[in-house]
Amino acid sequence: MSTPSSSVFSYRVLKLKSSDGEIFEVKQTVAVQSGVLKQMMEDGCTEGEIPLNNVDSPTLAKIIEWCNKHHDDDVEGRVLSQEKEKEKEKADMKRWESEFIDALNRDELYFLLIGSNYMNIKELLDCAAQKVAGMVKGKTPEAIREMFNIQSDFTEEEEKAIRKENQWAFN
Amino acid sequence: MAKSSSIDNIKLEVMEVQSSDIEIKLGGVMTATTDFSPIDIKIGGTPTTNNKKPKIESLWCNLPGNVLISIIERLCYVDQIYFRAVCKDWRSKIYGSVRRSDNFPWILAASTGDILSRNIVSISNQCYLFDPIHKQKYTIENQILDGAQIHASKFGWLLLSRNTKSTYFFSFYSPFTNKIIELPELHMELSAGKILCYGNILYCSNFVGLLVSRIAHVVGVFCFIFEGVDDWMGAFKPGLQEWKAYPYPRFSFLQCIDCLIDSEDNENLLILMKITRGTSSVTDYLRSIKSVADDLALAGAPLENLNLVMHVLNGIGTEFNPIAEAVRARDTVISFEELFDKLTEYETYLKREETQGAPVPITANNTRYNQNNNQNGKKNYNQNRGGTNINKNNRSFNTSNINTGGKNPDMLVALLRRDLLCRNRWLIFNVRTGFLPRDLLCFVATGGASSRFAPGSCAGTYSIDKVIFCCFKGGLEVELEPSSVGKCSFVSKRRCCSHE
Repeated sequence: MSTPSSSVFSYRVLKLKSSDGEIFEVKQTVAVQSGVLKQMMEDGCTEGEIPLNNVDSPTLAKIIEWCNKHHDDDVEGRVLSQEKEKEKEKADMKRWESEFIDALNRDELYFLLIGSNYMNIKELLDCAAQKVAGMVKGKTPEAIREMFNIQSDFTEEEEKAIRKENQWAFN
Repeated sequence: MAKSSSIDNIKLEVMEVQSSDIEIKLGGVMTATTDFSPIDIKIGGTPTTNNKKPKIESLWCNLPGNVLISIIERLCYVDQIYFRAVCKDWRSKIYGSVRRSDNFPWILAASTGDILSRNIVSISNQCYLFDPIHKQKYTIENQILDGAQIHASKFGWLLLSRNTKSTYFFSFYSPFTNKIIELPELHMELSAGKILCYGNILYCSNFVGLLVSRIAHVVGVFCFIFEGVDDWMGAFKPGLQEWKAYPYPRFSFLQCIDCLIDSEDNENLLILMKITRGTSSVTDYLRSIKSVADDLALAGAPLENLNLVMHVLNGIGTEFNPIAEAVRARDTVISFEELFDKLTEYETYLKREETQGAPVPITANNTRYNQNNNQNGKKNYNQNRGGTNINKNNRSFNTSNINTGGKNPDMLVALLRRDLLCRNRWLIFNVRTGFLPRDLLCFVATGGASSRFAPGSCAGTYSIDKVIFCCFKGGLEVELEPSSVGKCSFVSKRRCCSHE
């Protein structure tokens, strides 16, 4: 058992094991973006493989891609002193984020939501949630159901009651 | 193995918090999942590479509650309603007060242009809700609107009254949820546009003529203040179903009202309540506010951080507008301590500027009325360097407190659902309470573009009588004709100003 010390912190590598058994190696400095992994590091229990039972390998790869990108940006951000460059960097990051999210199909997006929530990566979750919000925006419940292939499990009465509660919105 | 269990523990904790206070309103619709319970979603078992399976897609209704809330917080109000109506799982996992991506108040418009009396908002059972951002009009229908007068609006509720002869029926009505809370009847006499109250219901039968001059919502109790009788106040508590008269404790209670009332231009009340900075230092000012807040908390009516911050900003004075605007524009509420630091820092900065003889920007003057109009009866002239005082227009403006305050458990669920009064960036300024007698409603938009007012602010009034928007911009009165909106009851919207 080793106690986490900041000097060796950045050189250490975590072994993340996805639900389908694939091992991913991630630098600790990158992994701190995950609230769960950060907590584990602070508790000093990151020896060996860390099983992530709720995240499969394609999703984990995506998540790590995100974290790497954001980590790199952090380092550069510290080096950059010019305000303008920082702004540009930010805009680039925004673009990268939206491209990253837009490239996902609906399933990948779902698993990314679940995975980022599970690993507690707030920024990624926010970004993905924003994407879903954009997809849902202006759509009726029926259209949302169709989009996500959700079966309505309301009875007719329940459906009626829901509509009645905010009658004006459904007219 | 220890590692994996630690993850599970964390996960479980989150889940527990969520399910602990599921909204009662839904009548125990908890989880009616088909194959998966929300906790053990086994994603690992299903290979994601095969995306053609429709079954995977239906996983969407198993999204965890906090993910759903994270999504719904990014939607506007109507979309939120649709979102919650998708499936049982989603509905049961989204509960409590959900923030909206926009905080702008809506407009209630009458279905007819005819105006029988200036107080009667509707002469049929139809009204329109108008979403000023998305320019959408929605029809609301309820018998209670027929011939009703609207006295105030707050937290998405309207205080309505209807009368048959001298008996008045007050009720709270939420146009958004179509819910009605009836209040016990009140015997009053209407004369010359004034509501006169009598009868022992109010426990003050010895006062023959009482004019209701204000209605306020104080920590779950709705208070009616009667004009001319300074020492009495009628109150109604929804949970108790009775009217009560209270003596008017001039000092201790007034502080309370300050936090929760829609402040207006009646000095009697506001004189004692408003804490403004005046000439004292920021540190002293913040300390005095903090001490009042602490007192309130001790008295069982704690101020939310948001309210506290807003109070600080409302009273700080125009020199601090840049800070105030920055804080108002934030999505998340700044903590009192942070605000303290920022304001004291800014004060130091201002002092340094002053000693260097830097000119005070002229734009800092004109919204002064909104900050300190009511403080202790005396205007803070030392801050009012030149510029046009809006009072020249013979209208006095008052800050409407922006608060979510007074959460009465009886009404909590509905009250939280929607907040008609604005928060964050928008201030509503009332000439009189809500739309009490004069039916004039004024507003100031701190986000608009105007050169003569403080940076990015302009102000306006709205008259129900005339169906006219007047915007004050650079001291000029501009009349606007709202085309899509009939008779408005409450307005506060940047668009009103930008129409100019």
